[in-house]
Amino acid sequence: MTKITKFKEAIKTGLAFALVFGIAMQLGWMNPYWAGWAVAVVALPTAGASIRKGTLRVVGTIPGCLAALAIHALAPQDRWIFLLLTCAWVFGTSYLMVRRPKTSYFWVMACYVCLVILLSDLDSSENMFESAVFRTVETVMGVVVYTLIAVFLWPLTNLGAIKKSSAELAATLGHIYRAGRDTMLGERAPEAGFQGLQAKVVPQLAQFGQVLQAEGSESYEVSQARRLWERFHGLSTALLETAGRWQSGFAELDRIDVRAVFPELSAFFAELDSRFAALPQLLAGRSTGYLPRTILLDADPAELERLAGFDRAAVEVARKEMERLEELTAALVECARELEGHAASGGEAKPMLAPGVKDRATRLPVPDWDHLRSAAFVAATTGVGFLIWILFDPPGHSGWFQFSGTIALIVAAVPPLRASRLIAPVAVSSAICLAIYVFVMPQLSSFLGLGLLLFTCMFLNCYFLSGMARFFSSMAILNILQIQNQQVYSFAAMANVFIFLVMGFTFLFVMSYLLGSPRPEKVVLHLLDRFFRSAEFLMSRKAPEPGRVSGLERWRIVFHQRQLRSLPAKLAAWGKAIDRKRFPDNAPEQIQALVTSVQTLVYRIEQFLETGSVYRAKPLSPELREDVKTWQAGIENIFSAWARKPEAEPVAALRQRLETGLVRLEERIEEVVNRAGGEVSREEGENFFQVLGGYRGISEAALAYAGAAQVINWSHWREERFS
Amino acid sequence: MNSIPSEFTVGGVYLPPLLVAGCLGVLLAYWTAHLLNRYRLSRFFFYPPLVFVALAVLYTVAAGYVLVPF
Repeated sequence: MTKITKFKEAIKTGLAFALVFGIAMQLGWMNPYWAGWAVAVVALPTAGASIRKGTLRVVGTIPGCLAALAIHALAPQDRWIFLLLTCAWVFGTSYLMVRRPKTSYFWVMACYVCLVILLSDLDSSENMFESAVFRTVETVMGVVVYTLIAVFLWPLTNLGAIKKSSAELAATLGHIYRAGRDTMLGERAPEAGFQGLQAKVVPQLAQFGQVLQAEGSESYEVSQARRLWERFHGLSTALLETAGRWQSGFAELDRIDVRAVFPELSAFFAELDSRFAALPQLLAGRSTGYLPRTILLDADPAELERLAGFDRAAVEVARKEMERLEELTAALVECARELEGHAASGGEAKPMLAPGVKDRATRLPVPDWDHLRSAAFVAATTGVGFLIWILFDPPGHSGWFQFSGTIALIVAAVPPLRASRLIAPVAVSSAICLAIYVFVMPQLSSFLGLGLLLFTCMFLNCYFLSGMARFFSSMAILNILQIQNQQVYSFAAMANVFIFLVMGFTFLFVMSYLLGSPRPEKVVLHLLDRFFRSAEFLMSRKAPEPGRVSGLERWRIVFHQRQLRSLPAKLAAWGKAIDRKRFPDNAPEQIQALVTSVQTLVYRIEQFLETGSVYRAKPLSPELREDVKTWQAGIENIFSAWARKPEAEPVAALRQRLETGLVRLEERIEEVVNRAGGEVSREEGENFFQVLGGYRGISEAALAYAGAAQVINWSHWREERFS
Repeated sequence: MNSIPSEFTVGGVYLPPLLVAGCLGVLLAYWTAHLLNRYRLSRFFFYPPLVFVALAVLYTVAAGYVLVPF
């Protein structure tokens, strides 16, 4: 954002802020700062983003008000039932807040507004309904005023952003595909550029999601095509994952002449090239005569026969991923054509073709462990805050219940955000606002003066600050200045608010230790422990002896699959939060390499889990049952050791063990294949080699992890220290 | 030792001596923790967050005896 744009945005926000106070005070509404809060929060760079956030704020306010009225009706005189019901509501809404990122803000409001309304009148419940109504009306008024100003004064629109964003996304996906193609054909070093491109495309995907929400809020055309844009987003995500899985197997294809094995490879890549060339054109609205055609990627049987067992397995794995790549690119082109009106879907829903996602194996809800922890943190903080209030009643009084719960929500929404880092900005901004309250506000005698003061405060806040700093500064302005129609000045009350704010954040810092250490390096260790436990569990459930799987067992499998898929992204986020100065031995590149190796392990485990049971491919399997069993047991032991100690298996010893096992198994395969002769059908052979490729892929990924893990100074991370 | 509580005023507003001693205690504990971290001595503690609270309490009591009776 340029300085001029920033200046204009700050003027718009300051103007809306002063106006809503003026309207609320003129009409004699309860707590005018409620409308001020709405403006401070929905003031976003573009009109579309503001409209969306404003809508979620208004819609989320209603269930919050209703929940507060219901809780008060059910437990008007019983503090423990009151606490229990409130904590249950807080737990539920905060869980949904982290679980559903698209409607996250709706759940934030449902939780926060409930706490606000519950404490709107402590002496009696007679004004509670009135408070709920005023809260809703003032929120609507704040959102409407800001939206009108944003639309009519220097409007910044999102129109066209979605096309630009989708074309950029398609171009980067094309680069990723071309990097993979060149590596497979031996024209580029393995992994060269892929990590960089992947790091570029992940924020692009996130940005595309945001742009879709924002532009969908201000454009009827985009809103109508939302289903197609969401499909485009889902297909792009699936394509990125498939490309990652495809590229993770290149090391095994190193000694294979892939052009000889796949005679149609050049035609296959030429077709994919045409698709990736057509995509940005279609998305930019330029017409292209290209029509996707189906291409097959058959391997030459004679060439396959010549390959050793594990090489054949690697070819099968690569073929499967390339076929999926073909399906996804065709679906993407089709989707882009529909978006541009060149084709019609007929309104039917189409599958997402996402890799690693099978039909739900269980009807039970499958929670995410970290989401549950976050919700438990918010509910516990609210509950303990309530107890502090009613048992000790320190400065801040009911704020210990309401304010602590609200800030805990913010900490839960952004897990790597450290509560301790918030103390200083809150103390500084509150001290400045306290000075304004003491020295400036008593001098004001008309709304003109007050309006100018409010405008100036918000203008400076928006112009100089951004992100969390801006949010907490807004909070200080609204909480410390405490503007009311009948303004009363009390230095003692405001000094208490100041002390309470600092104490409140210290309390949150203490509470953040409740569910484990919030130190990033400790969280990384904990996440790795969980990752390898899940990996070990899933490997052990790749039924060596097929049998009936109970409902509970299916639920556990789905739970651990979800863990496995979600943990690399969490590891990456927490890895970036580790203080480099405190741990100079562990460079960010080393941590990134560790995360990449974990992600590769996920790809390889998923590929393996998607294959059929090794024991179905007769007559190869019975002969190799014992060898494969030994290997699987070995891999499970390695994962178990890594769960306890991430550096437990040194890479050299592991390589020797795995390679010895590979050679032994390869010899056995040769022996069995020679003996079986023509008895093995093509399908049986493919199944078997896919499973074998899965095992090899996991072994190679495990070696890559061991290599990345051995350069990390784990003992330093394990050391205790003050936060 | 003087057992009469000290009084602090800011602009005519009296502050409780325990608050002043508490702030001093927390600041000193923070400084001590910083030093212990810097010289990697914090690794010898089983649970540093609890040690921090203990240090803050000890410093507050010490400040109460030496500087700000409460």
